[in-house]
Amino acid sequence: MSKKTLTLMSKDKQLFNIEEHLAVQSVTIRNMVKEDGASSVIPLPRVDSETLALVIEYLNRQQAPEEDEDYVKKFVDERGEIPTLLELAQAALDLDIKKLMDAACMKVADLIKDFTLEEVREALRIENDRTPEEEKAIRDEFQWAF
Amino acid sequence: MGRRNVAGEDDRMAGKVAGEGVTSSAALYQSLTHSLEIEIEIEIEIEIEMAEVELPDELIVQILSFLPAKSLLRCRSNYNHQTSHRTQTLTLPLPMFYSDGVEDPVVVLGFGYDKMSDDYKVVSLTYDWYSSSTRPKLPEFLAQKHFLKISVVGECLAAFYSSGLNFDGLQSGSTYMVMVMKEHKNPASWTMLYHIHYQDVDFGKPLRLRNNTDMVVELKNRDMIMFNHDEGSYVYVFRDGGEEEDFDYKTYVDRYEESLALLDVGDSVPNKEAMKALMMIENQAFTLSINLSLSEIEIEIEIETEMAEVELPDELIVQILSFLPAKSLLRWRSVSKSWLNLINSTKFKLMHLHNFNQLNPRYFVRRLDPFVDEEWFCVHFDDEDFTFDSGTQIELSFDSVNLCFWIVDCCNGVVCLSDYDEFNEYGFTLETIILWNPSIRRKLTLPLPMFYSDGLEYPYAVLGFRYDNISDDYKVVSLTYDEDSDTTRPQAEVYTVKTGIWIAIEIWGPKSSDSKWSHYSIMTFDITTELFGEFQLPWFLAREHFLKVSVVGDSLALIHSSGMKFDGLKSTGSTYIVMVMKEHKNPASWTTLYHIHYPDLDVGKPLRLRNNSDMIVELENRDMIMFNHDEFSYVYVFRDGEEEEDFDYKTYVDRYIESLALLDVGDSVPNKEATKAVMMVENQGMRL
Repeated sequence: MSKKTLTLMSKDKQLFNIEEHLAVQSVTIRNMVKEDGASSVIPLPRVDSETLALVIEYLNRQQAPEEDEDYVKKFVDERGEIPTLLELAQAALDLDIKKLMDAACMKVADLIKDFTLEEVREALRIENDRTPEEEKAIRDEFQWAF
Repeated sequence: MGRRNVAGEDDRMAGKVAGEGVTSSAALYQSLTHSLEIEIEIEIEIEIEMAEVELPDELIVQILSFLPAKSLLRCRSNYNHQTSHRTQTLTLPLPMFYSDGVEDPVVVLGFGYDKMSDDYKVVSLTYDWYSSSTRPKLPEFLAQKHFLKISVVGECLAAFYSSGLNFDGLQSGSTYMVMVMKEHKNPASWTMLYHIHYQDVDFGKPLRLRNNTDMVVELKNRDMIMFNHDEGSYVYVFRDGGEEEDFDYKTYVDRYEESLALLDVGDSVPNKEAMKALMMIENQAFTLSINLSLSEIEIEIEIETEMAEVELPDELIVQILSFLPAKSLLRWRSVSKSWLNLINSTKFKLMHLHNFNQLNPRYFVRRLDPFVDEEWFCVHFDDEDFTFDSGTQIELSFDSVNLCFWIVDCCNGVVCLSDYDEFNEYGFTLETIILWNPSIRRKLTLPLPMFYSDGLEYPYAVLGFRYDNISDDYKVVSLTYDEDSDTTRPQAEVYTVKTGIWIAIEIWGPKSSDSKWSHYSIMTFDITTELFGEFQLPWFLAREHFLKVSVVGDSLALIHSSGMKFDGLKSTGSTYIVMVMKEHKNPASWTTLYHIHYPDLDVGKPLRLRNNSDMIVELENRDMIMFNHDEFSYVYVFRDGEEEEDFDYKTYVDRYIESLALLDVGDSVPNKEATKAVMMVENQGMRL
């Protein structure tokens, strides 16, 4: 089998080339390739170019299987900022690259575990739909955890 | 740019933007009129009668111009946006000259609003640190002074000079001189507004003049003070500062003006390089303010706005939360309604149980404190050295009537404790059974088994505890014997958390009491089908007393220890035989894993095998040891034990699993006792 190259296009219309046998680590891409041979450009309308570059870097890794676990961990460790990690996790979710998504989520979890309510709402973009009274009632139940 | 001020704080014009912005923006106005009736009623809460004629546009515009930015954002569209109270930021590229060629570039930034072009502008002066030449013109007698600050009073530019810094040789007291330029752009009109000296206040950094010429000052301990020169008095705005070494003034005061500026300017994707440079610039801020005293560095403009980012997919949130400690999840149940529902859901609890604990494999140890005879818990990582996890504390905030609870078993984060009371002819009587989830500090007290409290003169109960993943339920099984009778069959019953009651079940399989002492076998109980069974022991262990059941990987394992004093041998080392049943439920597959003899150790009680088949053993002085049979070596986990009379093995080791189990059924454990327990543990920590 010859090494076929696929082209991925980010949200901001940048193009990235990647060998097909590496790209199909993404279940989403694998399914697309299966369906129509994916000869042309694969658009990824939810992934920006910065994030896609990271995903490509990850897919191109040349790690022995037994070192892969450590590599993935290090890979996300080096992107220690929550917004970047969330973008990465979201891209991995869309592309169905489970290992990468898990690793990014673990890292985010590790970074936010000591956050306060407000901080976690901010970090994960959650709207507060609790009244202060409701919040207090829930808080009182496990005061020690705060 | 004309009258823009390089000093950067002159944003007083921005104050009018909130009002004018609405009138001038046709697009915004358009979208407002679309769904006027509903919005006015819901959002602004002005009473209008439905089906009346529309209000004049002029009136609407007038009303809206008095509203906070947040309300306007809400009014903009009819459909219900996910809004969050974020601020909009716009990150700028670095000034071209700054990144271009100069060897030691220093940048001074200014920022203001240009009314003519309706635009915000940042001006940057980049120059080489060693060849600075540009100095803005100042009043003659201030022109050589360093500690200057520019502000605005009313419509006039003001400059104030402060002295009293240690640099001047003065240790206490402070002097401020405030000048205003009466006529716009006319340096000849510099006039002294006031000149004051405060003897009892250490010199601080003037931050701003209010319009009544009151001066806001940050002191060196970060207290903030407002001076009134008319009355020669001052009041504290903040008075919570502490002395710091390497003190650096960081307080900033300005008018808070709501505006819709930047609303329409693109996205807020951060440019990494710029962020990095911003930090650099901030680091230089202090140096700059001493040398030029004109610059305030401010590059971010903030207004309240609708969030620019879209919501994260639920799947991602769930995934992230599943990797978090139970404590964080408890705290965040009040983040939003959907999070509460999520965290309380069975599906999530199971996912969390799996994901978090796979990521954080740990053990807990229950010990009797060798000094004060109280039980305490500690957590260790499942690593090679069994490292102590100082970040996780387990508090048992209810007491056993004895030295410690008897731990029946623990499974999926729930520990089954039992307690025994008074001594009868045959032993202790069962007092209580408790299910306890240490990671969320919840406990559930069970009623005693029916048969136990029912008629037997000397009841004796054997308890078992497990989680049934088919019914998603925790179950306790009890076998009650009559100690006084060898002929009565034991009675079995099962308690499940979901039903909350004991239900009698049949005992199939194991023989009745006549074979009781002939040989041992392992009695099994299938937690799902609730059926009893029996395994044969390896033939050569079938008559041995000192056996311990454990698990290695997925296999059942058995530890036999000998060398105890019961054997008539005194301190001649210890022997352990470890067997595993290679095939599930097939006694023919019992295989010896290892067989070791340590001549230099008194035998202790094997507590558990780790997955690498290391064996954890409690010695007779309460030391705890970890054996590695491959290297024929052992390490001490605890080595603080002392010889005791009436020694009884009390140490318990098991996996520490964080889980949200019992969240909806258990009682929360009282608080004041918890405090006591913390102190205890801490005291012990020090001694250790």
